[in-house]
Amino acid sequence: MNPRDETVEIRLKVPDNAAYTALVALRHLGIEVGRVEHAIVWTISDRGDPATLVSRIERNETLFNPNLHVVSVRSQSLPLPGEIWTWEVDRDVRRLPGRGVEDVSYAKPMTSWRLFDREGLPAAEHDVLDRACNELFRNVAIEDSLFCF
Amino acid sequence: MSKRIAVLLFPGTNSEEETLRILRDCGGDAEFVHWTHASALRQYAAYVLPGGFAHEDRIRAGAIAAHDAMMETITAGAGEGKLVLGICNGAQILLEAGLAPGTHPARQATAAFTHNAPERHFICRHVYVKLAVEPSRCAITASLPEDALIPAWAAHGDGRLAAREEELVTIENGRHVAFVYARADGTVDDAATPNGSALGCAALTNRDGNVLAIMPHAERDAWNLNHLARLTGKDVLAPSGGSVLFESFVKAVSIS
Repeated sequence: MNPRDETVEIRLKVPDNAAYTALVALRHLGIEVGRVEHAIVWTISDRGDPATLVSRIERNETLFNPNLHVVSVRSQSLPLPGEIWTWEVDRDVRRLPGRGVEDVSYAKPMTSWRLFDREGLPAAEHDVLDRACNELFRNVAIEDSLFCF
Repeated sequence: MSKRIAVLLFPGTNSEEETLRILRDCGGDAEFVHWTHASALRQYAAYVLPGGFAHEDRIRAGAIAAHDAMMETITAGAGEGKLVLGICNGAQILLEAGLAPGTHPARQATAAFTHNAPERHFICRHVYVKLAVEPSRCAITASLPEDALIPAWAAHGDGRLAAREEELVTIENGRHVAFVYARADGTVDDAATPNGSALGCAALTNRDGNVLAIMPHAERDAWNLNHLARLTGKDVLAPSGGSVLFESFVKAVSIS
C-alpha cells in the first residue's frame, strides 16, 4: 500500500493536570482564557489499512495506555481554531517503537494546546494565541509552532 | 553580618536538603525560601535554585517555574549583579527564564537544556565537569583553580544544551560555556558527554558572570561519605569532591 499522511491525536481521558497548570500560568501572565485542552498530535506516514489505524495505535503500549488515553484520527493536518501546535525542531522519528505500528515509516510528535474563552468558544484573538505560544508554550530556541485563530 | 543565601523551593523541588547542607558546611548562611514567600527573597544576597521537577516539568522542564513570582525577584537580583546558581532543574529554569546564557534581554529564552540524545532516556551517571573558561570569567567559579575538575552526578532526562545554530556560535564566542563534561583524567571528548549536549556543555554562565546554570549535581558528590575511596580513615562527614564549587560560591557571596 502506498504511504499516506495521517494526523493522529492522543489525549487524556482522565483530568489533565498539565492543561490546568497551563491555564493558571496563562492567567498569571495576564492572558485571559477560560479553559485549556492538551493533547499529543502525531503526523505520520502510514502504509497500513486506514480503517485499522486507531486499533493499531491502541495496541502500541509505548504510545497508548488504555487507562489514560483516547486516540482519534484528524481529517486535516492543521491546528483547529484556537489551537497551538509546538514541536521540537530536531525531533523526527523514523520508526515508532513497539508493536502495532510497523507500517508507520515516519512520525513527528507535536504538542497541542487548545485555548477557549470564558464563553467556551475557541480563542479567536491573534494576540492571545501569539502571546500564549511565545511566552509559555514554545521555547523559541528549540521549538517551532503553528496556531490557528 | 553574613550575607544570606536563599535556597528556593518550588513545588516539585527535591534536592534542597543536600544543597542547603553543603552550602552551610562551606560556611554559607543559607536557608530555604518557599514559593509562597516570594516577597521575602529581596533581602537575600544570593540565590540557589536546587534540582528536582518544579511543577512536574509540565509543558517543558522549567517552563512554569520560570514564570513563578519568585523569578521576578531573581531576575531583578541577577540584573543588579547578585549571584544566582541553578543546579539541574534549577539550571533548566534559569535557561527558560533567559537568565542563562543571557545573551538577550531577560525573559527571552535563547537556549534550553532539553531531552538527552541520542536516546531520550533519563540518565543517572557519575561524571566529571571541567572548568572551560578562566576562573574569573564567572564570579561563582572565581576561587577555583584553572581547569578545575569537579565530580558530580548527572541525573536528568533533559540535560542536553540545544539552541539555534547562530546562538550556539554566540554562546561559544562569548565564553558562556563555564563547564564541559570530561573524563576522570580531565580529557575532554565526545565520549565524556553523557547526553549529547552541544559544545559538550555541562554549565552556562551569563554575560556578566554572576549567573551559573549547571546540570550535574555537584552536591551529590560533596562529602567523603559519597565515595568509598575517600572514606578510609577520614571523617565521613567532611566536605570533599564537588564541595569545591560551593566553597567558591560561598566565597563569592561573601565578597559580593
